[in-house]
Amino acid sequence: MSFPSRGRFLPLARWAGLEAYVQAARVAIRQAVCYPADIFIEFISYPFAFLGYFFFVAALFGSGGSVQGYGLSTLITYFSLGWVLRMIVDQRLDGNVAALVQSGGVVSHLVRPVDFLHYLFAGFVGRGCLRFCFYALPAILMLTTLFGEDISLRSGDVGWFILYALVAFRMAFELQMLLGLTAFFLTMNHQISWTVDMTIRLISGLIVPLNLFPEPLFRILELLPFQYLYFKPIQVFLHPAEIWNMLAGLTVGMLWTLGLALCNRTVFRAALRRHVIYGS
Amino acid sequence: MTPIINAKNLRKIYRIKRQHPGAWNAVKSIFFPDYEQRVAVDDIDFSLDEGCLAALVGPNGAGKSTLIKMLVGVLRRDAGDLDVMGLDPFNHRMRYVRNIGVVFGQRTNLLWDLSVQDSFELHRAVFGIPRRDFLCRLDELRALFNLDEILRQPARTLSLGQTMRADVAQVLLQQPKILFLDEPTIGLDVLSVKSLIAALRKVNSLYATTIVVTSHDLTVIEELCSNVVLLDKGRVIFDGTVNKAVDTYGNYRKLRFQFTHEQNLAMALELIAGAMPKMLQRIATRRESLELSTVLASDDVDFARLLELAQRLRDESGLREFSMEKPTLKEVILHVFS
Repeated sequence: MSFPSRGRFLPLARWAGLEAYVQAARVAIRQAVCYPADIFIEFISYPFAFLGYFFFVAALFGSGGSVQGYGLSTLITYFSLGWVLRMIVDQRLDGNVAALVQSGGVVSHLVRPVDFLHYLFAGFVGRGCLRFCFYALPAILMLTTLFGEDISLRSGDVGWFILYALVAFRMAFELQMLLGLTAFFLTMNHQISWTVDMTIRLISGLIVPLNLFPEPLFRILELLPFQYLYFKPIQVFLHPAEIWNMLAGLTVGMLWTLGLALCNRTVFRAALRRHVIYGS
Repeated sequence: MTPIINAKNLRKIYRIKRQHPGAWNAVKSIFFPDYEQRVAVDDIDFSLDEGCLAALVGPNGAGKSTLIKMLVGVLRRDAGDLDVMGLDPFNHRMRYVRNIGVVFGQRTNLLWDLSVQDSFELHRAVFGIPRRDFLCRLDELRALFNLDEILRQPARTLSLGQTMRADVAQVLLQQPKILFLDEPTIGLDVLSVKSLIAALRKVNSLYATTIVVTSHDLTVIEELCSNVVLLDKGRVIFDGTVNKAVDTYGNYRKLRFQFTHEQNLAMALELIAGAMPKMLQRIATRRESLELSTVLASDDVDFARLLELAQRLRDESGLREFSMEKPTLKEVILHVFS
């Protein structure tokens, strides 16, 4: 009986000491595709959410006009990009971590000689790649086919958008991880997860572009990291700024992400010190 | 032999929320939760030698699982010292777990949705096992644990016995210095238990792997282990070899007399009452198997008088069979905890 192939990149990963994490990413992909109906149903659920926006925006701006520079075309592009990003980063890691804690399954991770947080991030990357290929790309194709006249995906600065999206990806992981880690302290974190997720959707610019909020609120939200999830990446695509401003924004986003990662590490260490896995 | 596990004054206290009956108490507990401290492991000392097959034995709540979780580094102790292979399991967890294998009988480490071979492949990468060694060990384990039929099956479709075989085989792929098994035979049928025991004995003899097992199945302990740590209410009440445990707690002998006819039983009881009255105090009669059985303290066993009694019973009461046995470890453990 033959055993699974090594994979094209595994020798390189082994050399870099990352083989375990590459395998974790591959396993995450394989686990995700075990249930194709799940993937399909989740995929078709996103356009439903998007269609709501489309009808709303079309009703408001279908006959022309704009608010603070957002016309029909800009808003459709804004929400398209927002929901495509959401498709990739919305992996409900918080719920998965909570399930591991509640079931005691976390013990299987703790007896492995790999960093728990890095291991979960590897899985997040694997699922992210899968979601990019199976959700995001078909969604972009579908959106441009359906709303080709209104969506201007060819314009803008794609390179900067990708860099900002990568920061958003890592930040989304850290935020979901932080929510998941609360299960170590509270056991049941469902309500916290749900509430924080809803709030983040609102204050990250997924539901409404942040600069449409009242000025004082927008100023406050600009001081928080959540704008780097959706608002900032979409802004650099729609309204590219000076290169130094883009670079400064990216650096701030990366620093926020690093801060969240350090926070997660501290919380995880504290969690391990107090966590008890009851029973056998 | 040098101890591979050394525990001194090990202590773990759980803080457990108490739930009182009634809706009012449920509401009250939101604002005024009531906690109690429960000592799960209470100042215990013990050590295990390298290459031994040891059992942690005790009734429910004795602290076995808590102890094994501290030993594998997933639970922080509240006090005491724990040294396993020169490392502190909790504080050096990442380095430590590289050298151990852990199987929890009630939780599988296999990837639930993927095949067993996918789990093995991930395990290989996680533990950094060179592919050549991996394939070589897998070949040995295939035969030992009869894995061929299940390698391509998703873990969720395996029976309990198959899951356990795959779980144990998986941790043996990294050739751990110590193998911890927490209730490895839960839900297994007799044949699966037998084959698991045989495989573990072979692993121990081939690779000198130290095996630490907790189990409620005393037959497993008896057939597998050379050392035993008896725990009760979080304390170690015995730590030593199986023989020493039997000598310490099994200072009695079991006597059994079997007769040819039922009417011989009454006559035999009269003879015993006359010859060895002490024996009568704990005698049990089994009419269906025509047997009398009893236990005697080792000090009360007088061979000459026993043989004389047996001869009289044979001549006068139709004695067909007579035996005297040392208690087994299983009986000793039951005796201690009862």
